[in-house]
Amino acid sequence: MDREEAKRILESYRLGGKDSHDPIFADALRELERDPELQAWFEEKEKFDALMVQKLRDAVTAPRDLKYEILAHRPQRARNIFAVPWLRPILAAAAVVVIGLGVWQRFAAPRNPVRNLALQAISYTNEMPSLQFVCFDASAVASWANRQPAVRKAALEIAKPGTNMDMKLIGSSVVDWNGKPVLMLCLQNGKQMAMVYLVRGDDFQIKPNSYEMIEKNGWVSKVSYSGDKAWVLTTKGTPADLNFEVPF
Amino acid sequence: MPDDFEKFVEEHYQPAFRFALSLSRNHDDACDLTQQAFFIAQTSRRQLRDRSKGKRWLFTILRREFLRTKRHEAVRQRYDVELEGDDSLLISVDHAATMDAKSLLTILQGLDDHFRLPVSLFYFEQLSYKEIADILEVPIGTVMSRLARGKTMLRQRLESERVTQAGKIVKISEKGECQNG
Repeated sequence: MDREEAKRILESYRLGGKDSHDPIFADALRELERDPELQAWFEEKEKFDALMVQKLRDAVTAPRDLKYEILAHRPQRARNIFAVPWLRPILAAAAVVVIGLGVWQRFAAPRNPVRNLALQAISYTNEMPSLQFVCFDASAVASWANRQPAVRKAALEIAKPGTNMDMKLIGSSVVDWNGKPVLMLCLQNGKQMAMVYLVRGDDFQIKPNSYEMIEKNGWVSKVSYSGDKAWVLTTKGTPADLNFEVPF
Repeated sequence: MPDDFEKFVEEHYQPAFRFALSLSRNHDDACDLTQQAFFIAQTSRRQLRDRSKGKRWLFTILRREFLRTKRHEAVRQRYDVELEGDDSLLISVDHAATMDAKSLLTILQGLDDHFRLPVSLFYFEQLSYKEIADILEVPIGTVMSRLARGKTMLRQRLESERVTQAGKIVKISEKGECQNG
């Protein structure tokens, strides 16, 4: 290594011998011991470096308020409440309660599919569902309904409507509830209207001989079971408004 | 009770500002750059796995952010500047000691980016050539060359400035004598 190359390398050598163990300086430091001229240059270099470090550091000081500006404009983030030691047992207890309630609701709470079906009927009727077929000839409505593939597949066909009944069959639709076919039949008598929803009992976990009557928000719905089908009769009003005979 | 980020700011905002000033050469830009770098550091703090490298990481953010903001005016300056004259024109330590810190800083700030940044990191922060290479994302050999050349250029310019100032003092002195006489 020549003197100029040693100088080039030693310019990166820091004050206070911080780099004395760095092998990249080893050859240059050995050269330094052999070459008095290089040694003189190095001493001058060390003095100059020390002077620059001291003078330049004094020359630049960050504005006093910079630190506060940085902290004031730091991105806000939600505090990690799990990092608060005294909150941990409370959070753990709350988590156990929430999980327990979920499990209880899923497995232990009494499930009432009949009631659920009645409620679904009220909810659906309240949304004013449209009729796919409307006709004041009840027989024609029944024929239309019985021709629908989903009705036939699910064996939801209805009998020929009777005559001289309080409520007349005026329209029908085939709808889908939770992936199961439902035959909707619209009955009318003057201003009163009612919906009959006919489903397969198995599709909605309705057990034979089930019965349920519920009222909700001015609506009434009655579920009854016949054969392997569940009938859901729904209308606006009270249970008394369901005291009519279904025409089929 | 200060949190981790407050400690981080307390520990590094002064060196960060110094480096930002070396990058931008403008006081207000340096303040903005420092704030922005800390903002980025806070939002991406998960990237910092080794806390002992926090300062180096912050400086890298500073430099990248500076380059990002200056990209539109990125006119690459030539850095293979020929050294001016020979070693006889380097300022001596004794003469340099007589110069005030602001003049030294002004002359350092006048160096080309490629020399100013490694020299600033070397003098301001006493960083090793390896740490400087990491921050500036250049090879180690390049840093060593730029340090050597940058320090030589600094001493040459300081000497040139000293001679110019001495000339002015002589002229003022001569002028003063004529007026008084």
